[in-house]
Amino acid sequence: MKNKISKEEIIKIISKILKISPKEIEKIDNYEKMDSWDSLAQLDIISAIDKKLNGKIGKVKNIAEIKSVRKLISALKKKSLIV
Amino acid sequence: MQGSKILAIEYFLPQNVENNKIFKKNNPSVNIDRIKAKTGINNRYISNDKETVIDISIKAINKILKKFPKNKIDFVILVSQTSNFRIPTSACIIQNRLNLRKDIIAFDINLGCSGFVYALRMASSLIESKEVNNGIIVCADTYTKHISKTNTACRPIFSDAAAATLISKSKKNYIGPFELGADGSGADALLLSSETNEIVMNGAKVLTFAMDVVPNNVEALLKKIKINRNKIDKFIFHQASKYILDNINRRLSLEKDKTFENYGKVGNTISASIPIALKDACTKKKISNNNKIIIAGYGVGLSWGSALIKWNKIL
Repeated sequence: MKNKISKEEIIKIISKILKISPKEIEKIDNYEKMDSWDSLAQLDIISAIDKKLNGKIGKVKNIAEIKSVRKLISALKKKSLIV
Repeated sequence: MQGSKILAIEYFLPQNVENNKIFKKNNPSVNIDRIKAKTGINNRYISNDKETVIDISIKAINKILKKFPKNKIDFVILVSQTSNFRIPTSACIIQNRLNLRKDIIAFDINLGCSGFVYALRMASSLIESKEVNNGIIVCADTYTKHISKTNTACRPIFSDAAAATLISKSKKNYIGPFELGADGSGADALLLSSETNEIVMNGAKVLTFAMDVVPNNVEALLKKIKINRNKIDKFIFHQASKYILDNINRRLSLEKDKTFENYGKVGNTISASIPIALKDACTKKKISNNNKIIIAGYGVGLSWGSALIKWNKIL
C-alpha cells in the first residue's frame, strides 16, 4: 500500500542493515547494544524506511531516537503509517 | 523598487588539506570506505592555528576588491559562528583591516548552513531600501578548530572556508523571493559547548530534519513564486554531504542534471557552501545568464531558507 509499510518490511530492512536474523531483531530492545549498529546504520534505517513511506517519515516525532522494532512500529502506528 | 543582483563571488580555502587517508590514520578502527560512501567527501580544508575567520574572510574579500572599487562598498555582512571574537563584532574588524569607508554598515550574523540565504535576504532588503548600492556578504567558518581529529561524526565532513559575495543594485531584480524558517526545538542536533570546545552532531537528527524540512521549504517557495519546477534550471543546495543531498533530491524527485554538487571537492563548508557551489557551477558553465536557480540552506539552529535567484553575468 502506498505511503505505508508493513511490520515484515520493517523487520526485513533493519535485519539487513544490522546483519541480524529477522527473529533476533524483534527481540532487541535497543540496537545500540549491537556491534553492527552505529550512527551510519541509524541513517540507513531512517532513509530506507522513508523510501518505503514515500517521504512520510518526518511525520514521526523523534524518529532519530527510536532504536527498536517495537518502538518503531508503535510510533508508525500512531501516525497510521503501518499497513 | 530598486532591485539587486549577485555581481561577483570569490572564495578562499586554506592550504592544509586533510584527506581520508589521514583521517583513517588518526582513527584506525573506523571503516573509512563506508564513511566515504555516505559522505561523498574525500578532502577537507583545515585552517592553520594562526588562521582565523577574519583572516580567511579578508583573503576572500580581497579577491573581490581586485575587481571592484573598495570605496563603493556600502555594507559588510559576516556570516560566521566560529570567529575568534565574540566581542567586538568581527565585521567591524574586517572594515578596519580592509580600510573600507567608515560610513558603511557592518554586522555579523550568527548562523550556520542557512546563513548565506538569510544574509542574502538582509542584503537585498538593504539595497531595496535605497540606503545602499553595493555590499559584501562574507560567509566564513573554521569549524575544524572545534572538531578533534578523533571526532568521527564531524571530522570527515566539515571544511574551513570563506566565500565573499558582492551584491549590487540593479534595475531588474535578480534575487528573491525567499522562504525562511527556524525551529530551536532541534538545537541539540548540532552544537558547540563552551565546556568541551567540541562540536557534537547527531547525524540521524540532522538527516531527518533535512529530509523533512528542506523539500517542504522548497515546495513552499515553488508555490510562492508560481513557477513549475520544470522551469527551474538548477537547484543548488547547501553541500551537507552525499547522503543528505541524495535524500533531499529523492524527496523532491530531482533529476541529477537539475542539481549541482561539489561536496566531494570541498567538503561541507557551512554557510560558504552555497556561494562556493554557485561560483563552481558558473566556472564549469553549469549555470548561465538568465537561468532560474533555487538555492536552499539548512542546518544548525535548526534554521533553513530557500530563495529564487536569476543568474546574471558576474565579474
